[in-house]
Amino acid sequence: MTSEPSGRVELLQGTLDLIVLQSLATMGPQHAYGLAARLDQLADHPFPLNQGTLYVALVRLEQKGWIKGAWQRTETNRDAKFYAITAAGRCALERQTERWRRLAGFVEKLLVEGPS
Amino acid sequence: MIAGLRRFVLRLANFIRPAPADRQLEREVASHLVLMEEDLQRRGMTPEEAAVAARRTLRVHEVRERHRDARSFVWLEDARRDLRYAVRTLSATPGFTLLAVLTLALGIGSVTVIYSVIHDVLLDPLPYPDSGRFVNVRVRDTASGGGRAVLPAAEFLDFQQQSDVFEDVIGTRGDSLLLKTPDRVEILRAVHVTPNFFEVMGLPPLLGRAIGPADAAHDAPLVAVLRHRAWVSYFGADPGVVGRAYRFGEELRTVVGVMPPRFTWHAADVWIPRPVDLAAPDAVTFPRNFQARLKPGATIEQAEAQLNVIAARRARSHPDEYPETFRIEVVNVIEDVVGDFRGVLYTALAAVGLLLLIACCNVANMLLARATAREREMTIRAALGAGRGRIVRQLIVEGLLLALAGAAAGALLAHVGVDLLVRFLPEGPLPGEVAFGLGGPALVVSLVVAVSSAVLFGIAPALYAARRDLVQGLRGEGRGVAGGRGRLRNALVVTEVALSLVLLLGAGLLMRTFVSLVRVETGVDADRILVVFVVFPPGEYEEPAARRQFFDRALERISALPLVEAASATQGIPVFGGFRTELGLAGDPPSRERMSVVQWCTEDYFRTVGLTTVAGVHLPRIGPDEAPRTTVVNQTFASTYFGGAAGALGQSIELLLPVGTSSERKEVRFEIVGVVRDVRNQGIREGPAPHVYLPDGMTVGAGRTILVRAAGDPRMLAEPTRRVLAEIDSNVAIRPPDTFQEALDRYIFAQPRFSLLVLAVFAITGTVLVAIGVFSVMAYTVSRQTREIAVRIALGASRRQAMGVVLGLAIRLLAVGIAAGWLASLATTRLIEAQLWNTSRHDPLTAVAAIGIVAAVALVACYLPARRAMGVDPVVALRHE
Repeated sequence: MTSEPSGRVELLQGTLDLIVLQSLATMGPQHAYGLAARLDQLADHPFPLNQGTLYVALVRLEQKGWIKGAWQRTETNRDAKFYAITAAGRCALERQTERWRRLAGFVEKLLVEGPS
Repeated sequence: MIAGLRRFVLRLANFIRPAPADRQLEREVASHLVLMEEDLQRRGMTPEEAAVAARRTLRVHEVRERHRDARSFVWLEDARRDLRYAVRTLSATPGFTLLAVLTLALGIGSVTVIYSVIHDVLLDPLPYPDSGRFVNVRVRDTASGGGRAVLPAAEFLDFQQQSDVFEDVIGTRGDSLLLKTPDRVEILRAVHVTPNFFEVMGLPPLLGRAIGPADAAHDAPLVAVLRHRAWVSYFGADPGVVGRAYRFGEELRTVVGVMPPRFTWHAADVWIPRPVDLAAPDAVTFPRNFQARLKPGATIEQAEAQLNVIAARRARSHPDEYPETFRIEVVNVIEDVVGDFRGVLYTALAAVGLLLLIACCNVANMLLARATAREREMTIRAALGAGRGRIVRQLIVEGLLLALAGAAAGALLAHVGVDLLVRFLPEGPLPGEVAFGLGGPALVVSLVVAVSSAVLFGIAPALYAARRDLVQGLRGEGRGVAGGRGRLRNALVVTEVALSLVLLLGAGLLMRTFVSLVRVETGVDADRILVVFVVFPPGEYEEPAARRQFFDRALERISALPLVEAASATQGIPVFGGFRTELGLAGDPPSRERMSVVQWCTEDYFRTVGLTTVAGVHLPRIGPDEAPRTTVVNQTFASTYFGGAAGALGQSIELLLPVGTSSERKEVRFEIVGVVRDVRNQGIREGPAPHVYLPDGMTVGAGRTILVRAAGDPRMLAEPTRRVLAEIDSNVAIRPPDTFQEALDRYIFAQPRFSLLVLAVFAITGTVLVAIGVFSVMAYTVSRQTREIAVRIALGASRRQAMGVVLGLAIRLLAVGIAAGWLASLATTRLIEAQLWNTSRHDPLTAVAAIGIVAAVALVACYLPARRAMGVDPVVALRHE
């Protein structure tokens, strides 16, 4: 269980939620593989995401009512579950973004000051 | 907040119905793989490469696991899986499961029953608020051990006014009075109470109102409050009685209230208010009894100290009221009321505790044997990666499941058991307030027992199994009987045998006691006699001549009834005589050194109870104006004072007897004209004391007993007798007639029978449990020895020799168990010594019988599996491994 391949990190729970919500908000409805691929693309180097973790975030967000999944057809006419952000999800995204910015700013400040 | 709640509900829904979410996920994962493969092929991989790569990226197994964790409650899911697994394992071995549940049910059920009874009788028998602080007060003569519980008004007031440990003080006096209803006369027990009585007792009435201080005022109307039972049986439970007036004794009183069923203080039928009045002519006899409620925090010792100071002061001014040396005793009421019964119930609790121990040993043993048999399974599970905690938890769940099933079955058993037990409870030693039921506390006890036994049984084998060395466990099951677990199992068998022997010995001793009690020759033909207790209305029949006339007419007409062989009137009936008085012999005046039982009876008494004359003649018939001058004595009297029946005839004796209805006594001289056979006259357990029968002389007391000897079943005479008496005077009341045997059963045999019943049930249950336990352990041991037996037989041992090897161990265990049990019983039989009669607690017959039963049961339990093992073909047994 603890033998994660090196380079792959477990993301903080809130972080992954934020990433998923933000991606869905900008890209529109997406399926799990699409999300994973998109995140891989976005990252400068291969994104260290364990795709299993993605499912944990998806089920959590769906249960909270922030995203909603529905079965649809892809462009290649494949069956896939597309997730879309809901109104409640957008509110949550705003709050989470705000929180993230504050936290990131704080951490950034710490890092800039560096060890004295 | 809302999001969190929403998530919680959905997780719960997914836990309850996991299938839809599972299907969704499978579909989603499949689609995920397809999409990824498609993508990878687009980037130039072959379909095969793409499939492998996709599966490497998305580790499906892990996705499933983590998805389940996130969408549901993982610990609940685990618990459910454990439970399902446990149910499957337990139902795979129905024999084991049934025996284990049955064993636990017997143990838990009997503990619950006895605890229910102990709780309702000993711990919380009275329904009154703060009843634990009620105390009785007695004057104890420290020289003789006797004393009085009767307090005259002046003493009562001194105690009440001069002490400060009591919150409230009540005084009572019991009396019987006649209630005249249109169709009959009933005898009621009336209790006069101080006006604060109901306020102090603190229970509201069922109907109407209770008596209050206002009812004690000089010009207040006369009132009464009814007990529930009296209301039901004498007034047909008619709510209209409240507000109506009835003739209670000599007075017309208005019924103002009816108390609830459990309000039965002093076994009254009716309560009547009465203030304490020093000027009243009977101030000496009211109140008679003194009860008080201690202030919160005040102790019995403080109360005793204060009352002793007050009483010592009183004794100086009223020396005639107190014995020479005395002390005041303050006794908790509950203690006073149920104290006698405590021994019986705690014996039962001890017995039931042993039973539960046996049951625990049994189940522990079965689980141990099973744990050994499951070594391979546990090892495989450990090898497959199950953590030690996981295996332990699994086994604990199994234990819990067994225990809960046992508790459920036990509760059912207890429900039936309480009903049964209550039916056999003796009435005498219990107060009327006691109400039985499987109360909350009893169920809690049962649950605690169940859960702790689960932990106990679950953990021991679980820890052992979890500590298993994988390699050794896989290589094969340990063979033979020796080894660590073998020793533990053997110790449990020894314990069980010992405990059951202790139980059986106890039950055996009580059985011997009971049998000797029942076999006691009372000297009376108990099953032929009807007992009719007569009460005269107040103010009538006060002259002895009037009573004599009534009894003469009654006996004449009863004797003429069909099937009546004889009838007589008497004061006091066997196995308690009349009263005791001082006796004077040949010039020596009556003294306390010589006492005799005195019983007045009419001339047909001896014929009625079946007493034969040893020497001389019967009692003479006394004319209406004649004073009795002759007497008949019993054999013990004759041999104690005159060296035998012949020496007693013609001798004269003097007795101190009451005169008229006053409490004054004077010496009266009698001549002995006959000697009769002995009858028990000091209760069933004591031998006969000197006894004097005096003819007639209806001088004392308002109550008399008529005994009727029947040619057949005396019960058939009850109604005709009642009719005859009603025809003579419809104002005379009688208690519902009893046969003599019924009276004996109720007052004498009920308690020993109850003790015996309880212990016998437990002893039998215990023996059954031991049989189950020994059988299951021996069956297991033998099954593991099958190979050894097969080898021995293959090598030429006879079946008898092989059997000897198997039984040898069993016999050794049995011998050790019996020795241990016998040693333990040397201590435990001391607990029931007080309940034994005419039976030594070292009674050899009982010991032999109990040991015989245990040994026989255990040997049969070993022999059956051993014989089965002998029957196995050696070739089959050897190939089986």
